[in-house]
Amino acid sequence: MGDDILSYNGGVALAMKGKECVAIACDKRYGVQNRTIATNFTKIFQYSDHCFVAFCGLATDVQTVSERLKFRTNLYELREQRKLKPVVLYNMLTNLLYERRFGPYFVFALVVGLDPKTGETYVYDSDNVGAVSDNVNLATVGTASEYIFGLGELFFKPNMNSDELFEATSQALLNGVDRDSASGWGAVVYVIEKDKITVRELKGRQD
Amino acid sequence: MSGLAFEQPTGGFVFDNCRRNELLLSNGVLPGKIHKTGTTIAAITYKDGVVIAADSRCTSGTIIFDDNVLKIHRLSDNIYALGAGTAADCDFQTRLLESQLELLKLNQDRQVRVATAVRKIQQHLFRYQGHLGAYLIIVGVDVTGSHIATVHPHGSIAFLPFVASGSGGYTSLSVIEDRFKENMTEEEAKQLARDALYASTTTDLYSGSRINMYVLTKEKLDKFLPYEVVGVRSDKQNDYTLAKGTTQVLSTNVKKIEFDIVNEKVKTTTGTHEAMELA
Repeated sequence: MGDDILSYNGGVALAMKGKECVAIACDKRYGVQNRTIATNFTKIFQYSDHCFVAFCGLATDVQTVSERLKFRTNLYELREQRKLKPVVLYNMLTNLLYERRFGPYFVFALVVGLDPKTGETYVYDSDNVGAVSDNVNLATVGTASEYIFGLGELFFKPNMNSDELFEATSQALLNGVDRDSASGWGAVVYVIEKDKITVRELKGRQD
Repeated sequence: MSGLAFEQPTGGFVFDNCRRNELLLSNGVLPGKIHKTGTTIAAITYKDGVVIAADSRCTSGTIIFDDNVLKIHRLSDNIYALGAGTAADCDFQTRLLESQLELLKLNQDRQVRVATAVRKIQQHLFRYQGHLGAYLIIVGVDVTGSHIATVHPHGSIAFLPFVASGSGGYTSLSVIEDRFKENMTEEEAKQLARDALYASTTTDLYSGSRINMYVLTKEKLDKFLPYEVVGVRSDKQNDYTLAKGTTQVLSTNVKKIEFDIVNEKVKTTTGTHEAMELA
């Protein structure tokens, strides 16, 4: 586990793209170094019909940043009288994180979204100071990210339908967290399509 | 700016986490890894303008976080910046500079000069005493000709005929030093830039994947995204598609999303009806 602040509480999240669908998944462990305190701490938050963000890192900052971002997005929706687009959400998040460049929040983030009119998919990742990434096929953050990168690259293929996408995301996450002691204790996968969001709780090793 | 409930973003940096972070560090906790771009960027002047090239790898420690990052940032139609060092600093500082230059251009009603962009970013970085880790190369063509300037985080600059920067900068620079000559043709310059980047993408482990190149002259901007893919992926040997039902699911919850009706069209059939037969 180490003394690294980002692995103090553990946790991991993964996002993958499909054809007109995106999946975002996270584990459910909340721990304090080697002790597991809770097994229902999901790290995925919804900001719009089709926009989700996952935060991994120090748990207090996961909660603070998700709520601060909610504040900003709520004001945006009230002022603009329209729903948030994934790119806008991503820019708001990276601005929030970069504002604290010299006293950063200890969270890495994943932003996923779908445009319901065009079916265009968005997956972005950010480090803890808001480094901007391009729209990628696969992204993962958290303590088990190194293991999940490998599995994700293996299972990912372009233009998957929602069932294939769900299987690929779930297997990459479950097998990755099995090799990391700081994450696990179940998983949740959100598959976002134009007309529906399917939330599935996965059966995983409870250790 | 307190960190209390009603927080309106006012612009600029916010320091409300600093005390907490200092406390954590003094308790022996290590700070997390920030994305560093770990890069090779190079720029070469030639007869008509400049050729700029960058690799496309973004690393956090030794993990490749992103294989296809564009490290060439637009500052103005005639001025571009290449960024090495901390990814977040390069992205945000160039974006900030871009908006300042746009306002300046509208204000002065003239095309912005490279020297102006360099002076502005240099003074800004000096204010932060090197804490903003942006190693930039500012490149452009304006009324006074084509220019390349290298800018360091502490605010030092140098205007040079060619420059390479980043972790793979030394490798690239040695290739360019060997073959650079004044007033090259566009093809010679592009080939030199490509060879310089190729040398560092293959030797430096923090640079790799693709070589992105822009050619900027008074008249045009040619973008080659990518100019060459150095890290070619081989095809997967097997099909790893997982069958539906592989993963055991404890519960499923489907939330339907309400559609907003944007448009409604009613089409009536206009074909001739066959008369009914009454037998």
